[in-house]
Amino acid sequence: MNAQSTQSPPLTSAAGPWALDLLLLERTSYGFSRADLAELRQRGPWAYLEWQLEPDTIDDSYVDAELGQFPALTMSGQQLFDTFGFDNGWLTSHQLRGARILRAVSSRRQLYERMVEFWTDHLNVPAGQDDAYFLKVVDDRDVIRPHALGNFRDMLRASSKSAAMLSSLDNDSNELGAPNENYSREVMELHSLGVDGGYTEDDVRELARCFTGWTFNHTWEPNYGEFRFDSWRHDDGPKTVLGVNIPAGGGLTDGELMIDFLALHPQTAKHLATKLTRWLLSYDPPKAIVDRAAAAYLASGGEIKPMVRVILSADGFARAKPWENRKFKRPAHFAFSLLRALEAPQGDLDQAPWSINNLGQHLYSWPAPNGYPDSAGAWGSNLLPRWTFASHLCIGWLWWNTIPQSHLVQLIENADRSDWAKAIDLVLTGGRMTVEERAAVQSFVDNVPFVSDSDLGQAFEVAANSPTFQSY
Amino acid sequence: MIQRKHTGSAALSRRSFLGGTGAATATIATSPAWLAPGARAAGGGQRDLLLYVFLRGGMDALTMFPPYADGDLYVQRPSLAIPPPGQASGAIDLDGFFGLAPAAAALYPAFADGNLAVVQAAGSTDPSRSHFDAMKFIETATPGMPGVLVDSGWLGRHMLSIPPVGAGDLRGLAISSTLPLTLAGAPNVMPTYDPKGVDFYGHGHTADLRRSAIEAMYANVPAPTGPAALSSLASIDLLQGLDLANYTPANGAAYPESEFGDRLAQVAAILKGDIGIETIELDYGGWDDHDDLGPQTGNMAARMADFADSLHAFYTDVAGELDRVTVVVQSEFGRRVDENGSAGTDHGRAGAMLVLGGNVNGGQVYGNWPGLGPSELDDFAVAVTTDYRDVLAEVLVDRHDSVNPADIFLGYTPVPLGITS
Repeated sequence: MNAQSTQSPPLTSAAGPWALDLLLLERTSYGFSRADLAELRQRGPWAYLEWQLEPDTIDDSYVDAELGQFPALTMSGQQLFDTFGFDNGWLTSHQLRGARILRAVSSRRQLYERMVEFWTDHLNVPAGQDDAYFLKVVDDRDVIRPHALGNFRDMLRASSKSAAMLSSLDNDSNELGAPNENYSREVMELHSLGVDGGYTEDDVRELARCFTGWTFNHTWEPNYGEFRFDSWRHDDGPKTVLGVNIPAGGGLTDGELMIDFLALHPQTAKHLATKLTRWLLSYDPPKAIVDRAAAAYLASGGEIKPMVRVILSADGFARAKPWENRKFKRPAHFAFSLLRALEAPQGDLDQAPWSINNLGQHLYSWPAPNGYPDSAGAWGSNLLPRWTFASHLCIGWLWWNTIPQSHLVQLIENADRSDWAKAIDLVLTGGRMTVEERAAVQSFVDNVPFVSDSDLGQAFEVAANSPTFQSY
Repeated sequence: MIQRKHTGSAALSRRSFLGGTGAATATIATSPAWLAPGARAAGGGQRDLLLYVFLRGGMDALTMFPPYADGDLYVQRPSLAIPPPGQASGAIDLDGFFGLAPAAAALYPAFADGNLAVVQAAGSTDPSRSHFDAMKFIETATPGMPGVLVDSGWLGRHMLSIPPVGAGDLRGLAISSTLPLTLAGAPNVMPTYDPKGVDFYGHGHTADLRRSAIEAMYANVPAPTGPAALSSLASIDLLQGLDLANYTPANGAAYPESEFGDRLAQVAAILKGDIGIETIELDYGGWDDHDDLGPQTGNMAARMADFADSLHAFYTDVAGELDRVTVVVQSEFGRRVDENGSAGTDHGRAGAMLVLGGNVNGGQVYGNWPGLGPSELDDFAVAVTTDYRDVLAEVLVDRHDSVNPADIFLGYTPVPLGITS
């Protein structure tokens, strides 16, 4: 297994038809697009990566302007509640979903958006009911997005005081003499140390005592959605968590101290490095890369970019062999990648979230605190919905995004019918489909019972539903 | 609440626009409208349909099946415990020791008929109180096997170990968006969020060609995707043939208008249609009642009522097929015995399992009750006295043709309790 070797093999012809530029593009984005490939080639792959690592320097004026469709995104919790109320609360998260689709498909800050998705799952708060609708909008803006390529300790600090998280994991009812250990367990198991991170049930209980009194202003209180520490509900006695002795009288600092301790713990570095390597690179994260990413994280005091640089390195690619060890696109990723490759119009972003929902991945709606799974086992057998989506999009039937068939003709630059499979492959994957897949597409084209204007769209459909296009 | 409705959807009306999608519907030989008495599609067999229901989140068995005769229950749960039978809002007596929460009263008829068994103090031998770890150990059947890493589920391994009863194109379903770990590794299974919505997409005049292209492209793709692609194509014919959208429950069964109720109705139709599907997993989430548990009228009461009413409707609906179905219900763990400060409960250990079917020795509560006294608890929770694998293995052997369950359970030798026959 590549994980055992210590020498870093070169990225050589073993990659077959895969050049580094295509590999890097698909691992830093929501899928191949000819425009982004041109950008990457013009900059050179490693300069492109550095550019993507500085999203604030990337001009994204189109998306910035289009985000004006979603006024909820700039509102405070109180403003959201005052404007929408409980009856229309779902519309606030609905706007967040529309914005998510816009950003994933159209933002030039592709790597940043991939990282936003990673942390959204890592610190999952389902926006599925009551005031979670409002609070997730705030959490996305104030916790996830500011730190997605920044510092994890800062993100964990923000998350620990996020009303969305406090509400989702019941910490608002965790108080002196009546602890609720839900947040305390998950912050160690999911957010920091990992389930094998060496904590005990006693640590869970003691940590819960540290977070007693951590709450937020509810809808019936002023400044809804803001963090609040109720010192009178805090257990101010001495505590011991993970061997750390916390003297009596620490108040709010009990929890703050533990958040910092957890964020920079070596087990957290290992947990995050493993998970992020899996996300960006491979279901089978090479141990050498994980170890180096964890070391980079610790050495930098919790910075995320150094981890990404280790993972998306020539050595990372050489060890993980992403050209043969493919990941399976999750449903939303699949849809975004097809919209990108087809250079589809923006469509109706008020309707688009239902389309992603029909694929089986309703955005911001995984009910458990661990986020949507990142595995082929979970997603790899649910194919009909994505085949249907690709079909409807390619043949102009998708109700929220109707692509004119003439647009597809332009995409393949009027290629001759006998070359459609090859031309479509170049549009969708940059030429990575297998010989058998191209043959299946061309066979379809050659054998339609009668020639019609829908043939090209249908050929795109068949190609988009190939195994190659399901993976990255 | 997931909302799937939208306005102006051309996509959703496409099938009626096309008047069916050619090949997809043409190959159906049997046509339930809705299933003439005695009519049954070929392809099924004598093996039960095994329905596995996983209550995600940690269902509080002390609320659903309160051990009212254990006095410590009322010491530990002064505000949440269901009162003993005979008192206001008291439990329905099951066996003189355990009761049934009033909200779950609809489970009682099946219990009284002898078709529903309850196993108390059941669970995994792994002490983890993490939802995800506990589920992983249960679903892969690796509790107490540190270092044993498998990526298949117990049901997946079992399905792999037995031959199909029919054509085998579609042997199992998970009614969900993702394939649960329990079924990982099973041949020819697929998840589907909504079986009655399964349809072949796109232009009708090319349906055959496009299906052929899919078959060609996925033929050599490794599991799970390759086999699932072929099962997906098979499912179109099989499930459309059942016309699930027009399914009419029998015997006046009234399914609640809920996700679980709707899904159970579809399971009943699949059972009656007998299309070769041997197992179905249904997940029911939301049982993580850390706050405002609401045993009588609140959160958990509403969920228990939905669960019990749905299961009762299913029981009523499939009365004629009860000898061909076995239902197993479990959760990843029970809750702590003491209530927390939020009128809820935190993660615990043992919970309850349910087994329902025509060949179940029901009407009794199985298991050794460990007691709720301070010295009897396992770190503030009910101790596990019945290994969940014992219950599963018995069902697999008696009702699902399992020959060597020790293989399925990776060397663990199960001990039958006598629940099924």
